[in-house]
Amino acid sequence: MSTTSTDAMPRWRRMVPGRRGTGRKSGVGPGRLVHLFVVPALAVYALFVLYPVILTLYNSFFEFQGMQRGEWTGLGNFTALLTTPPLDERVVNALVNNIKIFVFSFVLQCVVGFVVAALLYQHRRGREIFKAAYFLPRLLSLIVIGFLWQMILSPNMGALNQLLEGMGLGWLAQNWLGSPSTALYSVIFVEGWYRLGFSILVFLAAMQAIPRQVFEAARLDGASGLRVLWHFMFPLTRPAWMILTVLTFISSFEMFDLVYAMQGVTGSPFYSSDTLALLFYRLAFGGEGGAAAIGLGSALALMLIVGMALVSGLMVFFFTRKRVDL
Amino acid sequence: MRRTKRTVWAALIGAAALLVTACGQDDSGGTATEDSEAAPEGETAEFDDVTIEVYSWRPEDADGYRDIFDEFEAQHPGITVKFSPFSSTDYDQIVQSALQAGSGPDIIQMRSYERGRQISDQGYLEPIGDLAGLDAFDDEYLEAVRGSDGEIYGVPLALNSAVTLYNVGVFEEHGVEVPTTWGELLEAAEQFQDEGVTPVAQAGDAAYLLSLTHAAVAPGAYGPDFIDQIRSGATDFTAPEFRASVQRMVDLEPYYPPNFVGISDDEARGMFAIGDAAMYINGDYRIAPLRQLNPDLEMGIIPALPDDAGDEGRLSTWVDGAYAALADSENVDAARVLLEYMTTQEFGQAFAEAFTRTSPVPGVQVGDELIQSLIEQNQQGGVPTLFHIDLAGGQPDTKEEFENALQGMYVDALELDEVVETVQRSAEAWYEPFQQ
Repeated sequence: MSTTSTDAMPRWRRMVPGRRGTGRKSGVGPGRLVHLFVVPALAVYALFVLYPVILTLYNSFFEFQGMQRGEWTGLGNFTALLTTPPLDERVVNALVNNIKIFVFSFVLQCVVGFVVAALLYQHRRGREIFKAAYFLPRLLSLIVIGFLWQMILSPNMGALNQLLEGMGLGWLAQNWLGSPSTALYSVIFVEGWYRLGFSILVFLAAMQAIPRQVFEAARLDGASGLRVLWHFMFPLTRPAWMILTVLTFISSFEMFDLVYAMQGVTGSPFYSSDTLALLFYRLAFGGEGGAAAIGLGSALALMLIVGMALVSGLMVFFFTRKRVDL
Repeated sequence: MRRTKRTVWAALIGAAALLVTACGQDDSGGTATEDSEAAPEGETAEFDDVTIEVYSWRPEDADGYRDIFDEFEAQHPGITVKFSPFSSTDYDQIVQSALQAGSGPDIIQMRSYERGRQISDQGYLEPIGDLAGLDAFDDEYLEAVRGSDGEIYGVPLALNSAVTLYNVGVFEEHGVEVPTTWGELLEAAEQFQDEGVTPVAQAGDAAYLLSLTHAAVAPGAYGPDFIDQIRSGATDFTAPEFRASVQRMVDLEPYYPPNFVGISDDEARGMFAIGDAAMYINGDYRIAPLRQLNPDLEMGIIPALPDDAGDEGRLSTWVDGAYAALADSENVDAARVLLEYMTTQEFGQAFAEAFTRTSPVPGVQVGDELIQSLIEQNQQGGVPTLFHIDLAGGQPDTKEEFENALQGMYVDALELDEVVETVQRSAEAWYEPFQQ
């Protein structure tokens, strides 16, 4: 009667390696051959991910004439990036902007996402409509979103300032994208608006995976809504926090398309919304008509990849060192 | 009998081999390619069903080029021209990849000045200095296609001018005279401001628009002598002439639309086209899009105005692109025939009329009054556009540093003197005349 006995299993399941009591019985051949199925995926990964990364690593140690690799410069490109004015100023400025993007995006996407998800979790009415509404922007390309928000935030004819004027709040109207004090934050807001729906879905799924009895027991013990949120929901959604924090960090540090669409290739005005990815693009491809410097661009890309990998690793370590189990 | 046949065949093969070898030798002792066996017959070589592929970054020009190339094909039987345009933003990468892979076309539209020089210096382009017709071009224009080795690698295609366009209807409606000095231009702007018309439809969201505006007004402040002095290293950007040219950008600021750093060129162009603004500063290549926005728009051109009455206004001009043959093309001889055609007045005329652009081919006259006035102003007082021609180099390039510094000045992040200092510091690092 047992449905878990080896004999009752179809043959293909018995051949899957690692499945207790199946692979060993089925013999060496088919079990190992299964690994070959990963080869096409590995080949694609090697060609489109590993090869460019290794090539970038290699290029970062050379001088370039246009796209032709020149002489070996050792760490020359890295030194030039970090010590030659105005490149060093641009790198520091872009790095600071990326950090700002991460901090504010974390608040917008993770903190606000968590709160909205908790509200949707507790109030079932209209939940699906709100989920769809929050997720809807993700269906559009970032370039399209950048273009649309550029029009909305246009200072003289844009919908936002017109709305504020119409509501008698004209004093709040700003040159959103044309002022160094608001440009970066406007882009961060749009980015947050675009990604919020995804965070909500991830948090909501994590919350729905928590047994309801936990909340019922807490309420019976007299815990308030805020205490439930802080002492139960927050720690029990830790894996979701980890995923979203790492994803927000990565998307913040590779931010290119949205800021390019809204603020141009130099992160206008006057580099106030410049990012490391934009700076990389300007170096590697010549920006607005300038000459390409592939060596410098590769060095910056390498620094970016290594930095992101290190910080992401630290984040994963921080989130996984303390497990919360039910 | 059999032996005789063999002898005849051997003789025929030998003769054919000799003929092929003889035809294959060019003047310099090199070997002509198989596909484009050149045979002198009058002025035009004969070709046997050769297709030349031409890369361009102007998809919007495809129809116009089809007409021009139809005419060329009619004059040169045996040569077919295939026009392959790509998006301008992807073009440089596409060309570089094709060149490196050895799968390039026969002719490419090449960027002028430093960016084109990067390709010619890599040995991908065919030197064409001996091409008939090129010697008639202005030396200043040929500088745009000269490699670091001094050779000419392309046929200059179009001239760009940085211009102040004015709306004739708006000027007439408000009774404002077309200015002839910088002071008069500021007075006219003041008058428009008083009457509730935006004097200058300027956008500033993209920094390059600001170096273009500088190019349109600066030569009136520093004149051609300053450019010569910069080029010879006799002076630098700390000179009062350059400061005066940047001061003009400061003078104009009150007459721009409010929040102009946040608005796009599309918005500024729209303002000018519908008559909400009296003037619009940009490249002359915006004339056609403006006419598309408002076919009834009547425009005039104001050059960079002098400080003093009696002095001449000057147009800032630079070469915008060229056509060049690839050195390893199998059809290089046929490609040279097409390039030679591009040096003729017939091509220049057709180009100017089809695309409402100014051709560098001497003697081109067009029916369009506005474009013709541009051609005449260029002939009378054109000056090279310093930043687009000489200073688009360095890392980051000096032109980019300058235009972003101007943007910084407009958002109060920099002072005028810091703009000057930025340019000087950037140029000092690489600009050859400053290295002496």
